[in-house]
Amino acid sequence: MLKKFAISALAIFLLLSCAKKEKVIKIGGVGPLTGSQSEVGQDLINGEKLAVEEINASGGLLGKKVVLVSMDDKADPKEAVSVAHKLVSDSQVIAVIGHLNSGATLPASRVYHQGGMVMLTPTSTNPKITKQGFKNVFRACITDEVQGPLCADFAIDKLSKEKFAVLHDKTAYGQGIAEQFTKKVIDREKSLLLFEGITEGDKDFTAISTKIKNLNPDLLFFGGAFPEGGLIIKQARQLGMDATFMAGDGCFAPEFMKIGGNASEGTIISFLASPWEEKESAKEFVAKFKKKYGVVKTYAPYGYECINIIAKAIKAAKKAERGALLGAMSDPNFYYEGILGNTQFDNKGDTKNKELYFYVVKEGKLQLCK
Amino acid sequence: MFTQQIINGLTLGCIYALIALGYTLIFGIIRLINFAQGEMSMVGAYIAIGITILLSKYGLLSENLLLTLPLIFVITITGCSLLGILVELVAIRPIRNSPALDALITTLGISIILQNSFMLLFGSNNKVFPSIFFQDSLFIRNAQISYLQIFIIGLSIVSMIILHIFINKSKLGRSMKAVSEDKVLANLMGININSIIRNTFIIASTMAAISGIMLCMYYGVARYDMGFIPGIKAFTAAILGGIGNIPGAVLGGVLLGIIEGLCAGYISADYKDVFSFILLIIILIFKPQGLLGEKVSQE
Repeated sequence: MLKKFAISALAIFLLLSCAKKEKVIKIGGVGPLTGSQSEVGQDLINGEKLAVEEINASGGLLGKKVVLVSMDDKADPKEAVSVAHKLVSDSQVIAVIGHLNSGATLPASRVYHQGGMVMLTPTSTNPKITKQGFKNVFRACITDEVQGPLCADFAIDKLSKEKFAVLHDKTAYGQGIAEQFTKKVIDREKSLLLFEGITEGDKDFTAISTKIKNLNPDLLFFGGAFPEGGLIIKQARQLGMDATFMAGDGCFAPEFMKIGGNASEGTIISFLASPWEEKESAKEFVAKFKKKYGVVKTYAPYGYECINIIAKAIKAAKKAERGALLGAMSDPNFYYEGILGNTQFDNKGDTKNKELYFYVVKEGKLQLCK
Repeated sequence: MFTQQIINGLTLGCIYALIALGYTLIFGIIRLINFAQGEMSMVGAYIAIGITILLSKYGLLSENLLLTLPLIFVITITGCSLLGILVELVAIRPIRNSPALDALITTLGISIILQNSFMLLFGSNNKVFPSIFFQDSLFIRNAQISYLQIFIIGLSIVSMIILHIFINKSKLGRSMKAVSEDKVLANLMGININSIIRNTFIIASTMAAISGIMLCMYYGVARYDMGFIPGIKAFTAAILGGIGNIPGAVLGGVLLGIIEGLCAGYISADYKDVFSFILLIIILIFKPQGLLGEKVSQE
């Protein structure tokens, strides 16, 4: 009797869990939700959440509800790999949006590749990510191979600078963009006075700032994120360095100005998009996001866009399954027209939409350079 | 550039020296390395930022420097001292007679607890200290010295001198010396060991509090993990100078700061930490008791 009961209970349980399994589509969303870069990570995930809510409000995908599994990689490569293993081992997760930092995305992409899962990174710009020959890896933003040289061109042509000093934070992102920047500077036969790395998490940059001040460059380029960027410019200005400070998209965050204070004025920062409020295609998104989560800080539109790209691919695949989704994403005719413009992937998985915008810090705010 | 690098290094070295004094004092009394020393200065930085935010809310911040600055110091030192008493009472006293390794591990535990609880309470982003104090600079030849650097160096020297006089001249200070020489005999002479140890923790916490305020004033930011690296560096400084030796901690701190500055300035910023630890290894090989340390063989 007991045996029968146990078997039937087990059967019902299995049936229920099967039924439950069929009803949802899980998409992973990974970024640094805690740690020093949590500000940008939270922003990215909020964008993803908004997109998922909208999809569910209009009936879900293929008749199923979409669930966002948000995970925290703390911007740490080791943590990123363990998060990736967790996501891959859950068979209901069919794609992942992430990670945010190149240093985290690089090792994690191998794990997703082994699991046959689509990985779409919204913001990692290191060129190596799509050069590993992994068919499952896609990227919605431009690479440092585009960003670094464009920064150098802007500094040489628009700002007419001649002598350069370059610092980076030794991460995959920071060192990558700094090397690309430097290469272009040398190609264009301008003088490079210094190329050195600092340690991520360090707070004292007075020694290197003094050295840079004495070399007297026209422009100091920093490849790295805003916590160090803000401190470097603050300490360098305190020591009397008067060169223009320029940084890549890693410093594009309100906290950069908070840490740097008055010293951050006049800093040139490149970013992958024009101001969201002014962008015609993004206006609706900005209004909706503001209602729910407040002002768009940095990457929220990328999170939103990536979920919608995956959603369109799932619809095209007609099956909520890792392999089918990968097939749909790899179709050369696949495209998505959204708030970032037209996103279409080349054979490496990079977007064909390549734009870069330059901002200047004015009165504590980032304004587009015209 | 040389003068400038020396001054940068000296400022940093003074902050290291203050934290290192905490290590050395506690080690001198109970032969214990208190790894929560760096976290103490993080707590100090948070308290200082809390007060400045509170003061600026009521518009009292920039009115009078001579009034607000001592206020920040007094409250921060009190807060850290209370925490120091608590740490000693909860984590050190119950296992004072256990093997030295046990207490070492509890201090590591305290440091993890402090870091994580501050992260959970106040979030993990950078807290900004308003840059209002000593913003101007002074030029000596071609070096630029900010008044803040002068303030940090000056205050460190004053605190060290006060500590030196206190240890050698006051009754409490001499009792501390007695306890560090021989606990049992000092107890027989009528010295209350418990109160001496508690007072040592108060002094070590005071040093950490001062260094915490300096760190957040100098860099303008504070974060839950800000105490870790200065803590390790100060530990290095204490070993370098000879742990348990008070002038040694000061010498070690200042030396370490200057070496870091010169290495980053003249060799490469990539190898800044490498050189300071190479120095530590060299000292330990050729002079294991540290620069000014006495011979304490069993440690």
